[in-house]
Amino acid sequence: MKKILLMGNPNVGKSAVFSRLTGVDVITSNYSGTTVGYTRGCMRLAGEKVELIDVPGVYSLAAGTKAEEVALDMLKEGDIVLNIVDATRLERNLKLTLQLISRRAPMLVVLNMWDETKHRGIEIDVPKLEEILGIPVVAVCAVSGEGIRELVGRMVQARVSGFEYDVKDVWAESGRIAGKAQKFFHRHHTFLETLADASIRPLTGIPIALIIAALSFMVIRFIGEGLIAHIFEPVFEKLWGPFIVRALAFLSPGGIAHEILIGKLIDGNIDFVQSMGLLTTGLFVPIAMVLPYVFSFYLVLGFLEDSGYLPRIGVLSDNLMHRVGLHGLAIIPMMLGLGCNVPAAMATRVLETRRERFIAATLMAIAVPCMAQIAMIMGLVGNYGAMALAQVLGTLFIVWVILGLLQNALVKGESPEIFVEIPPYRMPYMKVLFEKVWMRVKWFIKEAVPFVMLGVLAVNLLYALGVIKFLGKLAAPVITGVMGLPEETVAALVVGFLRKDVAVGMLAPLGLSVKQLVIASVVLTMYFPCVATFTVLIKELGIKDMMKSALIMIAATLFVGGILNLIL
Amino acid sequence: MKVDLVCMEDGAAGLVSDLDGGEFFSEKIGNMGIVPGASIKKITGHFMRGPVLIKVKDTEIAVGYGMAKKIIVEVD
Repeated sequence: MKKILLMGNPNVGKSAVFSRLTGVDVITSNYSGTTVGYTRGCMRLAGEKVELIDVPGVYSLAAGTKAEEVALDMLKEGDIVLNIVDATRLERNLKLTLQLISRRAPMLVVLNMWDETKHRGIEIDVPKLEEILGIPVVAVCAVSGEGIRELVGRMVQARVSGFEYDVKDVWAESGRIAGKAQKFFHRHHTFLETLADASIRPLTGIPIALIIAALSFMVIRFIGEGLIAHIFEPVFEKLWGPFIVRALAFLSPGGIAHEILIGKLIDGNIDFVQSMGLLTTGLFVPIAMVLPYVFSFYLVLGFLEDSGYLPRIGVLSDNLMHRVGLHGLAIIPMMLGLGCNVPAAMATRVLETRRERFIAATLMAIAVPCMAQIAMIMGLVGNYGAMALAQVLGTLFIVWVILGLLQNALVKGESPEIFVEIPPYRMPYMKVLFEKVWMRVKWFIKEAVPFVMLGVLAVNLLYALGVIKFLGKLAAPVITGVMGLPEETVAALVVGFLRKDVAVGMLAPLGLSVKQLVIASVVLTMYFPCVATFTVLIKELGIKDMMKSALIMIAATLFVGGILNLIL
Repeated sequence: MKVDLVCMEDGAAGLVSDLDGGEFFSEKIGNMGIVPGASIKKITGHFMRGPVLIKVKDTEIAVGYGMAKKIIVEVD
């Protein structure tokens, strides 16, 4: 099968073009390094099935960084290169184009973000560019789909360019070509550009960042709570509950089937949080308590990603991130981790050195609770007021800072400085944004819901087999002695390895005091990553480093749990 | 007048004159268009040894403090 490579600088929209051509859903954002792995997909080209590969962005083919080395390897395999170029930054993008040309790859240039050239006062003479470079050039706007049809039509014309230039002076040559093919028109500063300036200068940028953080929190909470209170809870309480009671009326309470499917009745009724049946708690927790928050979180995150705001937070927080041995961009995996730790662990790949990846992954896994867990903590601890909630989140923040300072002092290796392109602000395309939210929500339903059910099943089995009682006795000196929690909490710790949201839910029937709830919530976040995150972390860090990281987690949990028990 | 990016005033513009680092450094920043002779504008610095934000060839780039110290600009 023929291989077609999509190559270009970071953040020129390679993934957007890829997803247009193949129909494969991929996450796109407005900042460099969203694509950290290779995505493959297929399309039909002149009646023939061909493979498309979305290669992560590189600035050069000089094999300096790891990404560049792999890009070079890929280039040997590819039959055609689609060189994706940001039309609003022709000159700087042409450097890679020229390097690709000198590699004698059959290629075609795709001028993406064509729609933006107009309001940026840029006019590119496409036929002229085609004539100079000696290869087809197609203008497209991947997010809206404009020009994609022409692109598909012309892909068969891809060819090796005969263009010759002085390889020692690629920049000068890019400048000359851009000068011939492109004209600028005078225009005024747009509102987005004024905003871009204000949001990155420290004096105005920091207040703006705080306002955006507060607004994001309020919007997530408003949409999440709204969906729960007005849609999901009523559906479960008024429709689903009565339905299963009637449908499963033939099961006698206390029987094994009743116990597993419906669970314990509380005062003769189903309690969706506490009953622990597959059809009650097993569905209610992921769908009615967690899903609304996952949806609202990804809606807000998607907006921040697509607008181009995230790297700006990276710049503003860079000086503080240095104290924990990272640079500003490491804030991005932390923010992704608030959604789900799995993609966040993968996103640590944007950091260059092993030291940085170790520190970032460890901090993220220990101190950043995922949205599923946050939603449950909000539901449970939130009942006792904002103070209790602040104690949980505040403790986690302090743990993040202290462990960061310690790791910065102790972990060997190098931490390079921030060096990144800041994308212009773009108004998110609502359709693309909602597709992305839907992709992530779908992933949650497909990956998380079965695990929640498994978790609920495991709770029942472990209790029935007496395993929990045994482990409880075994762990009592630590759990009760050090952290002041009842023995039964061990059940939550066991299940937390499968799903942390179920684990937090399991605290509900234990009758804990506020203090104990706060401690248990913190401990459940910190002690170990869930199995999905754990597997990805092994892949990203390697077994040895993952073990080190796990030791840090367990030790820190014991210490923090003990301290909280003393001071709260 | 030659100054490094950290000392350069916010809003000032000039031409990159020297790169005060090794080959790897020059290669890394050269890939983003920061090469001797390129025109460069400083947008803003950040306090507490934070990064310097510059504009080169129509693109804003955040450069870490230590790296910014090594980029020498002939100011207009």
